[in-house]
Amino acid sequence: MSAGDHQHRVRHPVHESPTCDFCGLPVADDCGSAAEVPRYCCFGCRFAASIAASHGDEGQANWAMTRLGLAIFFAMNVMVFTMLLWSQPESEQGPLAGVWYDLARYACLFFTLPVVLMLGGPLASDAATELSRGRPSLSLLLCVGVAAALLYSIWSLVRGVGHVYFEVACTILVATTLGRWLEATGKLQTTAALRGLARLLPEQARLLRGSEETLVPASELVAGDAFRVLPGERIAADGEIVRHEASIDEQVVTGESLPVVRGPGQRVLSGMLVLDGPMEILASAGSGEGMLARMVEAVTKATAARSHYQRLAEQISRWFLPLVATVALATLALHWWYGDPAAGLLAALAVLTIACPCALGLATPMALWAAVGRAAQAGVLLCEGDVLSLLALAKTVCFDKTGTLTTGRAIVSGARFASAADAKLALKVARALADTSSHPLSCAVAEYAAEQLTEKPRLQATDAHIVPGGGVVGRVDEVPGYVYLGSRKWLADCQQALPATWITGFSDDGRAAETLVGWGGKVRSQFLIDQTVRPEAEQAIAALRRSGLECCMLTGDRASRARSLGDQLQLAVLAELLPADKLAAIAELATDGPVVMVGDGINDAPALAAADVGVALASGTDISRHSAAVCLLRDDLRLLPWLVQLARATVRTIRWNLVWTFAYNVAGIGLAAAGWLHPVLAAIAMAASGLLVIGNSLMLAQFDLADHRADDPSPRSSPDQFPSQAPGWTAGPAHAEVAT
Amino acid sequence: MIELPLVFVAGILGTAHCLGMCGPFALAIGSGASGWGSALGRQAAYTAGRIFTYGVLGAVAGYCGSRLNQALPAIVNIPAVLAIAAGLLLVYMGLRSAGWLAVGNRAGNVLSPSFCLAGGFFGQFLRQRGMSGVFLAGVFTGLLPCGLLYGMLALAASLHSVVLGGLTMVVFGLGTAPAMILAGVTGRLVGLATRQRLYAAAAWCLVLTGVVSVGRGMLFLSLGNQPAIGCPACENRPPLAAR
Repeated sequence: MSAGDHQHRVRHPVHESPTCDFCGLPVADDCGSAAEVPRYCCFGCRFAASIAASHGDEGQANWAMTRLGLAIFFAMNVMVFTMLLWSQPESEQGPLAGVWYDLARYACLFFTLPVVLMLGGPLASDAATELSRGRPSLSLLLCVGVAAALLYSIWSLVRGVGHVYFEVACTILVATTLGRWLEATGKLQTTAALRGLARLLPEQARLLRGSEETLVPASELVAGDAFRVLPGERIAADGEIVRHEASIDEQVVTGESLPVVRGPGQRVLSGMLVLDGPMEILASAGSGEGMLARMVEAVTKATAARSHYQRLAEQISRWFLPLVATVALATLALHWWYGDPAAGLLAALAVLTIACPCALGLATPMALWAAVGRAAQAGVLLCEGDVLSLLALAKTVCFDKTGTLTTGRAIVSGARFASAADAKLALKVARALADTSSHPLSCAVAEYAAEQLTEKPRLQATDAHIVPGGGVVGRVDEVPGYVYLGSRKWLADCQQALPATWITGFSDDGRAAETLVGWGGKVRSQFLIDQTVRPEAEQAIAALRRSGLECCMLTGDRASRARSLGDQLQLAVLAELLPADKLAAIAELATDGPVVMVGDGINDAPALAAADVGVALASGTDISRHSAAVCLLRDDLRLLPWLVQLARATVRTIRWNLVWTFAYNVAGIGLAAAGWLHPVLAAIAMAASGLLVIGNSLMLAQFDLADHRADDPSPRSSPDQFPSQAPGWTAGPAHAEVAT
Repeated sequence: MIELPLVFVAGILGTAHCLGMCGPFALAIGSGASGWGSALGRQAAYTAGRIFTYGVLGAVAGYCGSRLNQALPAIVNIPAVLAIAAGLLLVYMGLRSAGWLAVGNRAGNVLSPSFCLAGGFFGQFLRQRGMSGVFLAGVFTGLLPCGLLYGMLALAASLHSVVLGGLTMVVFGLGTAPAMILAGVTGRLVGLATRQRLYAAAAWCLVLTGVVSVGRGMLFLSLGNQPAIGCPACENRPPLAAR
């Protein structure tokens, strides 16, 4: 599978498919059925929905369950009498033995009839519903099988000779109904995490008009409305806090379990829980347009999309039913040909019973839903269904630098001045100019100057304007002429001479960015500005390496500065890249396997879209518009190795599910056709097969990194494995140490 | 049949174990009763359901034992092997219950509620107020995993007969009935100290049943492949033949 294929798949338009009205999983084909008719993916969901629908009417619900329970009780009776028959051969002589034998056969019929009456109806109705939509179903085949077993047995009973197969009819009905109902219940559990998200939005909001508070339906909130949230309530709409301070549990959105204190001016998102103290919020979006609604929408879209594995399963399923029917008929015909129609009937019934296309259809969506739900709980939003299978295969993880490996917040790490007499003035000028710009370097200088200067009044810059790529120029009261704040090159262009001693030294190694202040033809001050590395970056990268992934940094920043960070994090770096160069670098890396690009969501949109898997960091508020398939809702790079492990576990589960169900069906149908598998055992195996798939998938809902030996030291990737042909690659010395 | 009285006693003494495991179900069943008569009726129906399932399981075990006996008679002496295996299992269960063998319970994770898909199904019947629901709750309680039950089922399998297997388990179920019904009707479980004494007695009874079963297996071995016991009603019947 080439990387080109992966890219092709990622960019493939999302095929949204209709979903089951009970469990929410995709259903195979709609066949043009009317929208108002309930749609179910299987017999189990239809049966479970009938029980759920009658929950309002307790008597009805009880009767549906009692019917199933009584049917099981009667079927157990049939099994006991059947075993007695099996233990007592027909050839046994004596009047008592003959009476006993007939009695047991009639007892079987007596206990079978209630089972057929109680469970045959729903199965037949399911078959009829599917048939009326123009598609034959396994229910139809099973109905035919049950009817054949029943009629043949009654005929044997009436004639007084021949075998009876009442137990087969009973077991097929009980195993099918019970097994499918349990499957439907299990499916509902895999989607529980996702449904839980949607339920977190409060139904009502406390709208504020002046000082008056009115309780209104949350859906009536619009942007610009002020509303109050009391302790213990969830926030109904995204917005900004206008009054009061309170602890907020943001877990639903970010996965972070520790509450944080938020106060006026700070943003809060819908679905978050206010723990103490009331607060007043100005809504920035309507109720249905907030964070939580967008999360639910994105996740629903991801789960409705059909993944590679699911398409494969559907292709197999399409051939499954005709194949099973043909094999069953051929089995019957062959055994008949060899003179044993009874054995033929039994073998054909076993073929119909053991065939379990349901498990095949469930293998992929069950695992995906469980994993997407688990990721959402942990604060990772997966916006494309196929992304987990790509993540599991990924070979390289590329990081953007600013805002991803660093916090995006710059700090002044050092300053020097041309003369001590000018120092205070230089700081005041720097602050005045820096205040007029929102550039990260200006912010760092402004913050530093504010810390150093305590006296007032502040200087105000007038006539200030920003020169793109250069700096800020303007006027201040205490200095004649223009004052400049910006890069060394730009100040030189503006005829501001650098002191001779400053040409080398201080920032010469290029580790940090610098900003100069100058006026009157001279540079007066120099500020060194460092990036703040995310505290967890090193740990996250080490964990990714242990998972066998190669990590590198793609940045447009200067090579010397990028290398400094690369050394610190033991990362290979590719620096001084224009946006187009980043795309080329990703395309080149993709020849080795899927590439994951981690960026801050908006700045890196092209690179995120070009990579097989784009991971946007803490850009939760923008999930609906950026181009990443994965959003980390919490500013924590350690979610990345966790997600890779989850993706690998998911793909393992999907593969295991598919291999198991495929092998089970092939082996089971083969054994059944040969007449080596009794239909009773086949029915039990069929029910167990579906439950095994669901149980296996549900494990993902409990996924925890600790289960997957994430802390185990495993061989680290060596820098030798990096593509040396890529231009501008520099591997840090620490990296080289790792390699040795 | 030497074991049947012992099986009954094991059932009676095993009630301490049953009360620990299934006692809450009995109490839940009792909570739906309107008076003493109704409570007794509900407990009787619940217990009948449980005993019915034990009987069916015993019959299945007996049938499996008999099929094994037919399939592999030339290779091993199946009744002897089953009897010895069941005996050893019972001795093991007994010693473990008595606290002589400290083994961690590793089934906990598998049976945790999130993995138990049957939980919803079972709960539906416990909540029902009608007698059919109570009876069915008993039927499905009988299917719950239980070490004591497995030991007895192994014993039933060693009898290699549908009837005897079922009978053994019904007798075992009857043994567990009195205390369970009493606990359910009075709404009180036996006190902790009493329960501990009963528990110890049940454990030693299990060990004794196991030792007898092992002894019976040894006897089979010494007699060759001739069953040493059988149902009195069908002692002279011809050997079982394949269907």
